[in-house]
Amino acid sequence: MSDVKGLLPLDPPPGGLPRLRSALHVAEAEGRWLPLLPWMTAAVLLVAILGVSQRAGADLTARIVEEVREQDPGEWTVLPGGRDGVHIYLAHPARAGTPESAPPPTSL
Amino acid sequence: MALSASEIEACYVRVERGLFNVLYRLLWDAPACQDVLHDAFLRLWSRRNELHAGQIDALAYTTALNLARNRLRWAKLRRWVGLEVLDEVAQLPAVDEKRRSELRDLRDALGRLDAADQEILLLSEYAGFDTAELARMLGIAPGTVGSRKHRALARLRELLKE
Repeated sequence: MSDVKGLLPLDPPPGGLPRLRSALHVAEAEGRWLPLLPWMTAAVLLVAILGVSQRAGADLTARIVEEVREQDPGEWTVLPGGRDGVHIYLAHPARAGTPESAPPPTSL
Repeated sequence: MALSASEIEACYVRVERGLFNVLYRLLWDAPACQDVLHDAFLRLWSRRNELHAGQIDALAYTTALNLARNRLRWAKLRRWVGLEVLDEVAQLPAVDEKRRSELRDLRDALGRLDAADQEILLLSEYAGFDTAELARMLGIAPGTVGSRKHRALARLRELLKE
């Protein structure tokens, strides 16, 4: 140890070890879940994509059914169980030319 | 064999005082020194699977010194672009005016030494490593450690007298 006065050792600020300990705990916790992050992101994306595509399919189905109802003035009974704007119908088509009212083919 | 948290903590207890004193004479900012110390130990922790207990004291010093050098480079750049001014001997608790003045003189004198001379002087003053260990850490021959330390100390005394 030299005799240079400015080199006399100083005490470090208190609380260094507890601070390090908590930083190590945080680092350890991050180390546990951080490697899972890509899988978690992929899972969230997959759920979102499935949800969006199901919703789009339901919208399309609803539009087709409503279109058919507009075209066919027959009797349509709404059944329970539909959701998200999609109704389930019991159809009693009355339009002429439907398979029920059409005359059976006489020849092939 | 991976290092355990208790081995890392034991190393921190062993080197904290010496390393803090080395870092303080490089950065002159107590909170920044503590940040560097903790960053160094977090880096050791992240590499714990590759390390063994016998080497971590020296590795803590070299890691902290590298981080301190990076900080100094950034501080120099920030001062150059005017974002930071060179502070007084910064934020050191419980230091009287006489001590503060000694530290200020030391800072001015150390600042006129080569970076390599500063490090060898501070490490041999505080780290408590033998010559062979210091030579390994600094990447120089063991014979050079003694002569460079002697030369750096003589130059420092000279500068402090001016």
